[in-house]
Amino acid sequence: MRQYRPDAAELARTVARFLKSLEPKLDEGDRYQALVCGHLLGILSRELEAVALPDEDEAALAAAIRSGARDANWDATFEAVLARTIERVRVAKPDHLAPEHR
Amino acid sequence: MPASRSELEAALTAAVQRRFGAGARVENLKQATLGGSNRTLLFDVVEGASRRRLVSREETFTGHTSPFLPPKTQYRILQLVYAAGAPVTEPVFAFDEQDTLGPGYVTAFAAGETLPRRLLADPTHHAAILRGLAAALAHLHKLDPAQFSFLAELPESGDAIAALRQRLDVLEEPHPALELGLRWLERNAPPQRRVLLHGDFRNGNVMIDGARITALLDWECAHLGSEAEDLGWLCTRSWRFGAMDKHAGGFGTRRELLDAYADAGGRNIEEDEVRWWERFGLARWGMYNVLQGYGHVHGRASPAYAACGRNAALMEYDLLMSISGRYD
Repeated sequence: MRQYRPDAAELARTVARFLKSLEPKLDEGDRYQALVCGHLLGILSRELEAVALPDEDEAALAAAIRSGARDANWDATFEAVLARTIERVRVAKPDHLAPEHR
Repeated sequence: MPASRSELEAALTAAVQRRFGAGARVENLKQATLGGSNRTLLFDVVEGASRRRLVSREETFTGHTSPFLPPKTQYRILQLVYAAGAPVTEPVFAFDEQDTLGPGYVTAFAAGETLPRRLLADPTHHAAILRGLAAALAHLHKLDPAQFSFLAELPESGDAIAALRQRLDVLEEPHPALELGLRWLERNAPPQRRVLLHGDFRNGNVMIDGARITALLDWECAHLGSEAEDLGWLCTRSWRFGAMDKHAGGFGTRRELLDAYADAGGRNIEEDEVRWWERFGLARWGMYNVLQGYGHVHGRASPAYAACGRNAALMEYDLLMSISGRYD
C-alpha cells in the first residue's frame, strides 16, 4: 500500500536535519553521539532508496573462498565481491568510494 | 561497578588509600568522554603538600568475542616495558579483588595530544614525530621476547591469518570480502617472526607533546609477531586520516618511516612487507567493525557500535582496492 507523502527516506532526513540543528546546544559527548546518529539516519535514508542487493548465499561463498575453491576463478569472484561491496559502501558512506565507483 | 559520580569518587578514594595511606585524597576527578571499550578516569592523588595526576583505565568489555588482553596482562606488559625505558606512562597500581573498581589499573598521567586530526592540522613537527614513532617501535621491538613468553599462547602470537579467521568466526556474520582479502594474504604471506609488538600502534593511540612522543597508550592488543606488523598498522589506510599519500599515520611516507626505523636500530624492512601488513590491517580493522556491530545487537548497543557494523564495508572496499593494486 502506498503511504502518503513524505516517503520513508524523507522522514529519516527530517529527523537528521533536526538533530543537526541541536548540535550547537549539546556538550562534547552528546554532540558526538548526535553526529553519529545523523550518520545512521543518512544510512537509513540511502538504504530506503537503494536497489536491494540480490540474494546470495554469502556464508557458502565465504567458506568457498577460504578453502581455496575460488582460486581458479579468482578474477570473476573478485569482481562479484567488489560489486556487492561497492553497493554496501554506497549506502554506508558514498563519498568513501573512489571516483570510478561513485 | 560504581555508577554515580559520588560512588565512583568514594571507590577510587578507598583504592588510593589502600596504596598510599589513610591521609591520601582524590581530587579533580574527571571522566574521559570518548572512551572506546574502557572507562578512563583522570584524578589527582594528594598527600600532604604533594599532588600527582593519575589515570585509571577499567575494562568494560568482556566475553568470548573480546580479542582484548585482560587488564592484569596489560599491566604486566606496562611494568616490563616501562622498566626497559620505553615511552609509556609509569604503572602505579592495578585494581584487585578488594577494590570495587576494576578490573583495570592506574598509571601516571602523560601530557600531550592524541587526537589525530589535531595532530595532523599543524605539520611543523610531523618529521620529528615520525622519527619519534620509528624510534619508539625500534626500542620496543629490541626487547627480549623471552620476557613476554606469557603472550606466546595468544592466537595473534601465532599465525596472524588463522587468528583473524578465528576472531571472525565467532561473530556470526559471513564476510566474503574479508575472506577474499585473507585468502590473498595467505597466498602472499611474508615469513613469520616473533618480537614484542604493541599491537595497536597507530595515530590516535600515542600521546604526543609538540615534537615529542610522551606515551604509547592502549596495550590491549599486544602480542608477539613481526616488526613489520606494527609498522604496517601505523600505515594502514584507515589511520592516515585523509592524508592518503602520507602512509605513516599522516605524518610521512612509508619510505620515510622505514628509513627512520632503520636509523633507530630497527631491522631493514622492505616496503612490500609493510604493504602486506597494511592490507592485513584493513582486514583486521574490518573484523573489529564487525565485532562492534555484533556487540550492538548483543547487549552493548550504542550509535557508534551500530555505525561500525555498517562501516565494515568501507574497510572491505579499501582492502579489495589494495589487494588489486589500485590503492597504495
